[in-house]
Amino acid sequence: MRLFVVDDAAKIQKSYDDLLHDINVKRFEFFNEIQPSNIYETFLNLIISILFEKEVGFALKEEPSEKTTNYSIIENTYKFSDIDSVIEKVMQAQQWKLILHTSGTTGIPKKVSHSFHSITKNIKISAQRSEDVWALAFNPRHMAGLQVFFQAFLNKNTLVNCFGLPKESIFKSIDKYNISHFSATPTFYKLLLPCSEKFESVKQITFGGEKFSDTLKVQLEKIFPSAKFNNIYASTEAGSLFSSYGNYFSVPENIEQFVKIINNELWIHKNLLANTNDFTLYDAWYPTGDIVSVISENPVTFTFISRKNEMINVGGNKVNPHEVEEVILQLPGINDVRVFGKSNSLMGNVLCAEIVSNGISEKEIKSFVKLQLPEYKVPRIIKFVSNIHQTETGKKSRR
Amino acid sequence: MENIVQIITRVLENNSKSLHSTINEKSSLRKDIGFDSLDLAELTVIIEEEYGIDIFEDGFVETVGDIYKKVSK
Repeated sequence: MRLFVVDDAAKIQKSYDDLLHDINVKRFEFFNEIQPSNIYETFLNLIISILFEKEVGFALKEEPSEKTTNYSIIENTYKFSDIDSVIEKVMQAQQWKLILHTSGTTGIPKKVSHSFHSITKNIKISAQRSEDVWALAFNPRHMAGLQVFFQAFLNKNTLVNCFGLPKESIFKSIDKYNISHFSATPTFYKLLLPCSEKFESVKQITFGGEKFSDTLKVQLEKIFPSAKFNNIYASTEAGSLFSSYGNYFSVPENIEQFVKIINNELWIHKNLLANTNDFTLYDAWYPTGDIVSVISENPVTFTFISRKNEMINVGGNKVNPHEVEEVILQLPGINDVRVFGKSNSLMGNVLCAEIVSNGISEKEIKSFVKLQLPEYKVPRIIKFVSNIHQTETGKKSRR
Repeated sequence: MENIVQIITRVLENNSKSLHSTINEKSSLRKDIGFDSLDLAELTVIIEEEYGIDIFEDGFVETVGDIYKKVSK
């Protein structure tokens, strides 16, 4: 009996047989706005929406759940003999639409509409992948979590929920379910540190959502000695676009004509974007706000520097918080750090840092950074905290 | 006044700067104490956290006494 999803914290353990059984019932309660609920219910509703080609989205947390407005009953005429025929039918989806909201770190959340093809275009399905066990380390209601869901489901893999769990529970799950694949933000991986154990079952570690850090990779290699590391560029607007085995992304030939870099900012042609009226396009091109540095041409290869709006202006000097975080992380005894700007009448912004550490002083941190970076990149206000605040998508908050 | 002096000493200490004279009301923040604009910005944030007053909000602050006047209003 193959497991479909497990969430030990919520005491959920559902097999593919359970899923098949629940899909084959005669009548469904179907939500066109999926309510915040357990991950099994979420994915069941999602699969049903695809099977019946019904447009679906996720209810925003703030809204009160009004069952009557987005709730309907589906009379099921399908009878699936096994889960393979379910997956086959899912793969044939034509009309199905998924409405997502961008995370809104750049302003008001935007509505985007994905088709089955646009959301799964980078999902890899093969016989070799049939034994993979995926950790779900992203919010399942957002693009990245959905990518992980489809990758696992379409290969009939087990998906183990690790999103928002303390590291002890995550380590326990790795051993218990032999998790082989992780896809998560650097912030998620940082929260696994420090760790003296080793987990041989993990074969692949994927980074996404934030800048990839070499320091972090070195630390993770010790915990996951059998893992390959890769890096993915994805957004709610475009889905996943590029992947790499380090910090350098190459633009694949098939999408080369739809990607350009202007003043170090990555622009994407509307052909690669989900359908939406909410984006401002300039001659069919969309500025992503991602600042990159071009390493070479033919094929275009670049490295991700920061988000445009993440640059902090300190007295007219632009500070990249990632750069400062990297330097601070080199100090022994630093477990995590968040660098951000606090508005200030004198300098525009004062650079601040929240630091999780064991017993290093403010003075030591400042002198260390000063040795490597110009004065204006040294955080002036340092607060020692027990953990770092994250946004709903698991990224470090920059405000 | 004593607390302001303590904050100033703390900013100097945290940024590995040393003081060459004693601090009094007439001490100029830049000339006597040796603060640059980043030090002043840091000082502003700390004072704002402690007193809820942005000392640079409405103009310029020259001496330690100027800060003292603003926070004791």
